[in-house]
Amino acid sequence: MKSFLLLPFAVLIGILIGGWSPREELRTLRRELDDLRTKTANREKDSRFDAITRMVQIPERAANVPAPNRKPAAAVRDIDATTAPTTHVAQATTDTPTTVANTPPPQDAESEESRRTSPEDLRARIEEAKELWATRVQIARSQWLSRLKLDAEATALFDASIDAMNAELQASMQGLADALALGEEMTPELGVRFFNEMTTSLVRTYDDLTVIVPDALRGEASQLEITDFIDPAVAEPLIAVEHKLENASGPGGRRRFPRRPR
Amino acid sequence: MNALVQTWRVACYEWFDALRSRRALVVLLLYLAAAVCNMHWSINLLHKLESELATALQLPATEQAGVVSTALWKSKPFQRMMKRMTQNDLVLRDITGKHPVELIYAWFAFFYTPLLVVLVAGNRIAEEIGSGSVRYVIFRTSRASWSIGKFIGQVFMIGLALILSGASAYAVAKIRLAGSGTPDLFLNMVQWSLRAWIYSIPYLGLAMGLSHLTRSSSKATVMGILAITACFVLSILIRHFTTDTGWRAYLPHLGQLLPDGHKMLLWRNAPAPLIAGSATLITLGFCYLFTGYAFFRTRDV
Repeated sequence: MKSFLLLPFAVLIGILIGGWSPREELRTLRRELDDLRTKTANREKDSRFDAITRMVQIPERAANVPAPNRKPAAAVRDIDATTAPTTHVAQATTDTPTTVANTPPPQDAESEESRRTSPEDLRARIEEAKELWATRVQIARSQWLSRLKLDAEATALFDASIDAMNAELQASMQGLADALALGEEMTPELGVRFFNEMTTSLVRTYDDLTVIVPDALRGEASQLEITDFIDPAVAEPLIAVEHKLENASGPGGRRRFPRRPR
Repeated sequence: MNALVQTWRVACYEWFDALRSRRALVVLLLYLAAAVCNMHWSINLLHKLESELATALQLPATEQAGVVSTALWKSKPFQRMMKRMTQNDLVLRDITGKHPVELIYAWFAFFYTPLLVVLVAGNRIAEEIGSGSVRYVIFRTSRASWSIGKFIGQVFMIGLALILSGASAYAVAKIRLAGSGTPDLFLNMVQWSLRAWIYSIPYLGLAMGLSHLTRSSSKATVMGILAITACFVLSILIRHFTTDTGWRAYLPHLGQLLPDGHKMLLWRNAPAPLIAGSATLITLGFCYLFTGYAFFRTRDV
């Protein structure tokens, strides 16, 4: 009977000690799960920056992080500002020297350096996207040349059209980066104008294709996913102003007020 | 083996004594009244809330309570709200979709059972020590058998009262609600009674353990009420002060010594948490009882 009286205490001690380790593991896992949920929730609140990077096919995080002391990627392609379409964004930055864009503000230098080592760093993401893009665009190009039955002359025009699109996109990005580097705020208006500029370049490429592609295959050409041909390097000017774009609020949700009937 | 037989006889005598003195009837009536009144008022409240909600949503008012709530369970915003309230995804997942009346009964059963247990059984040992009647029993049996026998007798008495109260609550729900008189709801409500019964065991052990310390039945009741209040307050404090780092991270382990630390396991549907929670709560009940018994073991009665 005496041993029976001690039995519940022994069982209780067993439960407490036996459950200690699983409880600790559970607590750690729950904390990690909460962190992940918070991160996911934050990520769901799309920033304008995410929208831009998504459009130019840059992954959300790099699988391989470059070394922290790595030199910046190749310089931005020289784009003649006068060849870029005259838009609000471009207009706002016509007089801006392009070198400004690659100079991060001194107060953010430290955070910029620490961020550069993370997989979320734009430079790392662009580098990775560029490597993938080179292979991917070759395959996509071959597939579409065959699908659209383009001859040598049309192929050259197709490539020229894609190159022109990338050049225009890069000019737009450079314009935005310069404007932000000069201290301009990433306002919703600026964002919308910028997106308009980018989509105009894409639409112009589709227009070019309708001329290049034979009439019988125009329907087929409209199936072409033009964003597959965007060179991720076009986003390189944004590296210098990444911090400003990340802090900008995302694209607006639903329209709060109905439009008046015209 | 002899000790077990003696324990069983004491438990049987506890029942016989309760029936002879009409005490069993009083306990049963108390539990039935609590369950019936709770169910009746809950349905009234639910019906009023649902009517108001239907008016606010510009929907036709429902004649029976529970219709709107059952539909509400299926809405994602309501599920998110409940998730924030319960702060326990697993419990929420298990209770999602259950009839609101069933859940209200379960909540009340878990709330009032510890209180009723302390009020009903908290003085059983103290009054026998105080009246001196214990002296006649411990000539024939060991003190341990007597304490355990009385505890087991009370455990089963409360179990029966809770199951009958669950059945009577179901009867009220069947009369008041349309479409809820299904066998599922009956079984579920009896099941919640059984879970509340398991949850009451550590509180019964606590109250009867404390009852070993005094000769006064009123003092035993007061001690029981204070102890149960302390358990609730400690559980709240532990939850409030727990952090992820430092010494406070170990507070939940202290909470394992309190019945409240295992309560949510009884709200789960999976067998593993149910069995583990039940075993721990029963063990806790015996630990509390034997701690009180340790003081009584060598006491001059």
